Amino acid sequence: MNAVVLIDTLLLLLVTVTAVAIIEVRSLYASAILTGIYSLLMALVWVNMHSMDVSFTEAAVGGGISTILLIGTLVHVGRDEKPIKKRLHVPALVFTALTGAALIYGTLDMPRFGDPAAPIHHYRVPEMMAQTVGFVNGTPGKQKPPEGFDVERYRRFDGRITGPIPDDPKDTAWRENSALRLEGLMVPQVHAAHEPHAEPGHHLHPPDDFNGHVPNSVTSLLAAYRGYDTMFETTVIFTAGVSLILLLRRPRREGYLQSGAVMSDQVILRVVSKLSIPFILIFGFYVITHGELGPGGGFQGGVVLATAFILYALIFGRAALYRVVPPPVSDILTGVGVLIYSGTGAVCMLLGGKFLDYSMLNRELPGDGESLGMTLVEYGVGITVSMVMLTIFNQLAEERST
Amino acid sequence: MLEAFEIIPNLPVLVVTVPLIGGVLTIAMGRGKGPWAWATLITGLVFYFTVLLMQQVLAAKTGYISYELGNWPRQWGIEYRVDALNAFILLTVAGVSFVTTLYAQKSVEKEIPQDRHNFFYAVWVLAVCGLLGITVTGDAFNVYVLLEISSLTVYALIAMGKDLNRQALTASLRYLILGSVGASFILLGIGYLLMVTGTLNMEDMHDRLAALPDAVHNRTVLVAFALLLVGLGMKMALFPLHMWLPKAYTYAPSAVSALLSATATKVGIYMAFRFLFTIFGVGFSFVAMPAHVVLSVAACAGILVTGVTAVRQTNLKRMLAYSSVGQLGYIVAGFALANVHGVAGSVIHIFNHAVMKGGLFMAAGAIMYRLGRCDLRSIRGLGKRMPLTMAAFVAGGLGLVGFPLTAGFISKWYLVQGALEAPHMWPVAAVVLVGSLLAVAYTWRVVEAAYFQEPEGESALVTEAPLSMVAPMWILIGASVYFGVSATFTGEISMRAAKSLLGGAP
Repeated sequence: MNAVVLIDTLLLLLVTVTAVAIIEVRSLYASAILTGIYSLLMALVWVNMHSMDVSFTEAAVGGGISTILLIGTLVHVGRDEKPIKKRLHVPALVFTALTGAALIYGTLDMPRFGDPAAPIHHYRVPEMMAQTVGFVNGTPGKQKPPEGFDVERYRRFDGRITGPIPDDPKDTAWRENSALRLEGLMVPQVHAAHEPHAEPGHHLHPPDDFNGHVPNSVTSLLAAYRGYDTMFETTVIFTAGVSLILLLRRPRREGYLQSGAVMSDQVILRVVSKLSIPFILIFGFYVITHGELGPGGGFQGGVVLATAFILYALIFGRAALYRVVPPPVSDILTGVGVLIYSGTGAVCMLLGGKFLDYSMLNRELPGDGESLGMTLVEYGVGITVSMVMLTIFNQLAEERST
Repeated sequence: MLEAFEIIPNLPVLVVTVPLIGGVLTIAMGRGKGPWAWATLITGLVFYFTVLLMQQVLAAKTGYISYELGNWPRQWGIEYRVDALNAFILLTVAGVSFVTTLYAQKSVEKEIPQDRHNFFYAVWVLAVCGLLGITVTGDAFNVYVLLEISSLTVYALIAMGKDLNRQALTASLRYLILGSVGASFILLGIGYLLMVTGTLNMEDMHDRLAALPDAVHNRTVLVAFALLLVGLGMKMALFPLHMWLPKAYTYAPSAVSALLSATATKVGIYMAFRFLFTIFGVGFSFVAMPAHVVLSVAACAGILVTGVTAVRQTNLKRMLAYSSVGQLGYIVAGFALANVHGVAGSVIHIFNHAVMKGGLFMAAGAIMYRLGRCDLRSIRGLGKRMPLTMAAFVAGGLGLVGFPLTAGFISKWYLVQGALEAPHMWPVAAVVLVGSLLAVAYTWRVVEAAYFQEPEGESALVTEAPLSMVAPMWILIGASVYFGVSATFTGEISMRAAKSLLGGAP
């Protein structure tokens, strides 16, 4: 038995135990903490699967901020579940068991975990990956590499392409000889990304789309290929924040804040939090900016930023937080993030491209345009996520003082 | 900068991004009438875009328009694909949303606290954005993302009825729980399909499923199909998964009830069209799998049971809500026939029911506006006091019955024709007729109370609802009569949509 399977089995066992404990335990406080533990365990499972971005998100959102928000909710509803007579609801149990059985039954014909021949690995992804990481995969002659860019070295690094690449973009025969193809991982049918479109004036993506700016393929998938989905995921977060304000915020005339516990008389807490907040903020910005290079991005970075503010509010009180970020400012910023994202897309469209075609942002070096676009939208995501998290926290805390 | 920009090629994306950006900006429109005026402007603009889009689709040689977002090849990125079916649904959703927004002003002024109109209309416009986004896309996962937006906004909008009746909160919570279960099923279904096909593009997915050696016995595909059927059933309030709907429509603010009844469940049905016909294909869904049996039994049971329940209601909004579940049953029964007339009847009834039920909920909302409630007791003698509103209610009710010269008649004509053409499906035709009789019963109760009973108490003093409510109400009711008399446009579009869904020429 290899180590990965062993660790996975152990982790999933713990996950199951935690899940049962969440249901069984009567103290809501304990179950809130247990959900945090559940998420941390899941984060480890993702690490074991080598999906660092998912793991990071799970740790930051599941293990971090949602636990805080759950505990915040407890302030309203009390620490303990109301004692109810436990009885077995047989139909519910039957339906749940059936659903669970169906889900497992459905896995029987799934490709095996990590199977390189699975459709998800060989159908579209190889072409996408080849484009994401490859300058060399494009068609030379159409675009100059940036100065100091060592194409040969990059080509060796890539290791997937053998032989010269033809000048004619329609000639895709070279792909037949690529390492991926030889290993049987790439389907012969290749959709040519760069073939001229039927419509006149249709803008083409440059042969080298990201100029090597985005080695993290998760980011290129989320911010470029499926950037449109990510825009709406950001909008989901925004909608959650606005809905919460709509439903929970008290009328403005009553003011934002009356009371709230302050822990600033605790010297250790005060000093430690003051020391750590700048680092949390820097780390948050780092995660947003460097999402394209490594794990992370707008969602994770935004959550990290929010925790800095929430920590500040916990220690110094919400009055102090409102001096830093008054609610009208956070309200505006939640929208600004979405507007940055959708605005970037709209600018690409107004420049004559398709919506969210970042290469329009830099005609000289389209790859740099792509990189710029992705960084912009990551910041859009980060701003909205952090401000919505802050808003949720504020609304929960505000209700407490009524 | 703008010289390279053209509206026409970008129409599919403008239909969704204009309400997205517009919805976010609504928050900045201050107090007073600003947010409402802005929301009207945005929904009006979107309606105009959908009209243009419809023209483009009708003129397109291929029968559809494709838009690759971010200019990525459609199998890598996300594709918007508009054919006759979704152009028609887009037109319906955008049109009704625009008219409902016009209507909303007075009603919202009365029912929602003044200081949060900007947030309310922001969520309102985003709900429209989500519904349009589901309808325009050709990507299975993009459907789910937009479904999240439309669901989340709708939960919030329903809960805003809390200032009139606290029950709105439990209604919204119930919908939130059931809706989330449904959405999770849909997500799992999409995930299972992704595992098998390696793609999220709907057309690509269909081709890959068709190329699968033995899709009918692939356990992953089967479970995906089951998950999607249940999840979509929840979203389109298919009997017996409709339990969230009556309370939600009853306690939501009046304008929200009108918007939702006309658009939200219709988009659920559109999703079913896409998953059952476009992704799985008729051969899989209706020949290899018994989807037609499951769906038509559920739909027919729904028509009968909710019809009887509607007759027993005293609250007008609740009566209309139960009637909605029944009317959705007609739509489902239609496409479950899987023949041209059945599917066309289903498509045309999406439009017809949207305008009729939108108008009816507006009438109920107008009564709420004047009386603060809308039960059978309080509307006694209202035929004289609020003649326009009650006349609209009667005209809409006749549409639900399927009276000749109303839009409902056209739908039922197609449905019955489809049912008689399909082998062994004549009971569906019988159920359609019985359902119409039940609609006569519940509409008659309103007519009787409004026209044949004497007003009592404050009902005797009320006057007609303001013009800004009556006019939009009559736009929809007028449309339902107009398209009942002249059904050439809706009929042709529906037939075309049905043929392309069933795999014929677009």
